[in-house]
Amino acid sequence: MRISTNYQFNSYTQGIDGAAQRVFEAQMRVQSGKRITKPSDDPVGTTSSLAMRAAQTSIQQYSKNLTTAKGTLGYSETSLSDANDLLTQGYQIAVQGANSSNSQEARSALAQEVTSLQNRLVDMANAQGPKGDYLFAGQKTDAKPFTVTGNTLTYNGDGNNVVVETGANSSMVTNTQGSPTFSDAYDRLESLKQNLLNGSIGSISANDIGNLQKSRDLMTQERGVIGTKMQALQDLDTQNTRRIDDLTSGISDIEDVDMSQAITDYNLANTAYQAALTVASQGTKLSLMNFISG
Amino acid sequence: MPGSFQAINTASQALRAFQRELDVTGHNIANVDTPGYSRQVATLQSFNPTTFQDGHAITLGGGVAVSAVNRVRDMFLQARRQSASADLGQSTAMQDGLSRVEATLQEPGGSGIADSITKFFNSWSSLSASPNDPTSKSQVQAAGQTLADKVRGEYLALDDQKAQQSSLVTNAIQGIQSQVNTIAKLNDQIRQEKAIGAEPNDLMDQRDQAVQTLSGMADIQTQAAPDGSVNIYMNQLTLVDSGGARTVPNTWDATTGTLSDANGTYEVRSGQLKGLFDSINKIKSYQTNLDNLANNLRTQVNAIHQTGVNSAGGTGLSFFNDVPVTNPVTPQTGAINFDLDPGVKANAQTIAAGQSGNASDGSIALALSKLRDTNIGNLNQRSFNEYFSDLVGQVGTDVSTAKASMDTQTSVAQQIDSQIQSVSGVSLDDEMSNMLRFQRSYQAAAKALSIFDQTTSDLINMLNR
Repeated sequence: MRISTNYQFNSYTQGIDGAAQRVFEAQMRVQSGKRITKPSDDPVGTTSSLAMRAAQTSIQQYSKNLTTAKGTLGYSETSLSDANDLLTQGYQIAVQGANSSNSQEARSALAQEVTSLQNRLVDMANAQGPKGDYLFAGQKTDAKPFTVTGNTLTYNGDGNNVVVETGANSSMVTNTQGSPTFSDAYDRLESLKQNLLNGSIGSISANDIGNLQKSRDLMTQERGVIGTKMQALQDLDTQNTRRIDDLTSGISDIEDVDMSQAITDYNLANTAYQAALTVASQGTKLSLMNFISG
Repeated sequence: MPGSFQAINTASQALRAFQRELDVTGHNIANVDTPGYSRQVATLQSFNPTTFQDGHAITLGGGVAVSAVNRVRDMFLQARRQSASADLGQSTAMQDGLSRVEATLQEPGGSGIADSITKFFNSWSSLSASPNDPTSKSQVQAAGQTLADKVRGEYLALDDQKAQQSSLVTNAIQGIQSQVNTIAKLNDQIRQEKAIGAEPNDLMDQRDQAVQTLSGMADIQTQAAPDGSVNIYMNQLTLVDSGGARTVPNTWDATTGTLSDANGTYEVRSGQLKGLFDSINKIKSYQTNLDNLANNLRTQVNAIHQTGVNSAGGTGLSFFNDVPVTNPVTPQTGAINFDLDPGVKANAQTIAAGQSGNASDGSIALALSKLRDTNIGNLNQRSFNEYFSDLVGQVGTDVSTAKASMDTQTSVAQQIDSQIQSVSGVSLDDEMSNMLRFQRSYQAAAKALSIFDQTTSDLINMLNR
């Protein structure tokens, strides 16, 4: 093939330009560490990377929700545990009060103690969570759920549950319906108090001791439920952390370059660039004009 | 019988002929860098010999003369280059337009629409976990605003790109007109030169170069006329004929890919113009997708939010603005109007988290958070995030296809160029060696002339004695 001067020089320019561009691209990949910087670099990879990013961001949110749920459950557990202690004290008072050797004055003093236990129980029932929400109010968490009217405890909350989204297809009830447990406990203590004031020792030993025990069992059951949920949250948290890690490495696999490969590519491109420059500098020196004298 | 000075005539004609050859070589060297230039060669022809009787018949050659100066050109390659130019022009215009669109997406990364969709649904999930937390509501408001701004911003960025491509269409039509005028003018000059029997090589080169430039802009067909001019057509539309340059229609429609004027509508099938039409149509289709995304976000989110009750007891409220604009009455549709409801925009606490008005009822927020994984019928049964990812994937595929096609067409054009250059390009080495040859020939002819002069002079001096 006949090579024209213009074509010869154009091909040098094209060779140098192309090689320089490949060096630049390889250098960008090494510098940014990214294989995909725009969708056209790998449209399919971009789509999967977007899906993985979305999944990752969502899971990060679910993990934040788990923290909220843990707060509510933890505070509830503490209140129920305190209430449980109150009931233990009530149980001990009942055992003491059932003893016939006590004087009526001593029993009245015990009744005083029961009143104080009742007041503290109401405080427990109106306990607030980390953000000031009333824990045992159903969904009506913005007002005190329990008030004492006469000798009974009145519940002003509702029977609805507070639900927290814990995953793409899972959610968890984080509140404990306090009305059955706290009302029951309050009533049992009230009965003990009345029997102490009335000196009905028989009734104390026949009913109150057993009932307080049952009431305490009820509290313990609720605490058990919370414990199970806390365990489930812990598992979900671990699972989420692992999935976030998996997704991070998945996104990296798609978007990031294999560094050793990138550096090899860069060196190769550099060598090709040098070769193109050498060829051009040698080639341009050659001309028939160098060999003929004018 | 030839006269005594026959030999001097022959030598001086040879000197003239070699001088012409050197002139042509000089012209070739001078145009080594001229685009579209075809190297020229002088064709030499020996003069008719004369026959005379000198005892018997003798035929003696009559010397040499330049019979023509022609350009070396392969017309078949030129036609192939025109069609390659049209394809290259089309894919280059498409690639240029779509890469700019791609850059506006800012994907993949943490700052595009995809991320703001996820964060929008996350904010609802967060609100569902703390329904009466004012901060969570402010977060929902902010996330909704960001999402609306990004979708609207992308739509406007696409509008900008569309406007840029449209102005390029106007430029391209002006460019076509200007090339058409140039070609018609050169055609006239060529016709005049040809009429007096000349071979206007350089004018033809210039004309052919203009035709090649034009072929990159639109799909043209050429037809050579016997008088040396070329007629140019774009399918049914005549651009240049014996009547001269025609006015290129300047009304265009990208959707149908046509130019039109009072006389008719003309299809554009390739070239830069077609590439610009294609990329405008692609941009329009991306905008349709964004409209669809915005419309479905608006209706789906509002439908759920309207069933909620906010902390002030308000219900039936929209989250995204869907109040028709009055004067002129236009429904709030598409991405261009995508924004928060004015109430929500003014006060985040008007956002409804639940249905009952209870402080910790997060059922609406939960339902809205669940929308993230819901497949929407109007979005090809894809979730919001998937639908947008599909759009990003589509843009990526379009750009990489256009780029691949541009790369292919570039190598095709380069391949043909190298063949054209091989035939028509000037090689300085060739010209140098030709120059030496012509110089030596000239020197020999001069020497011959001086010898003849010497012999004639000897003869005259002899008679003087």
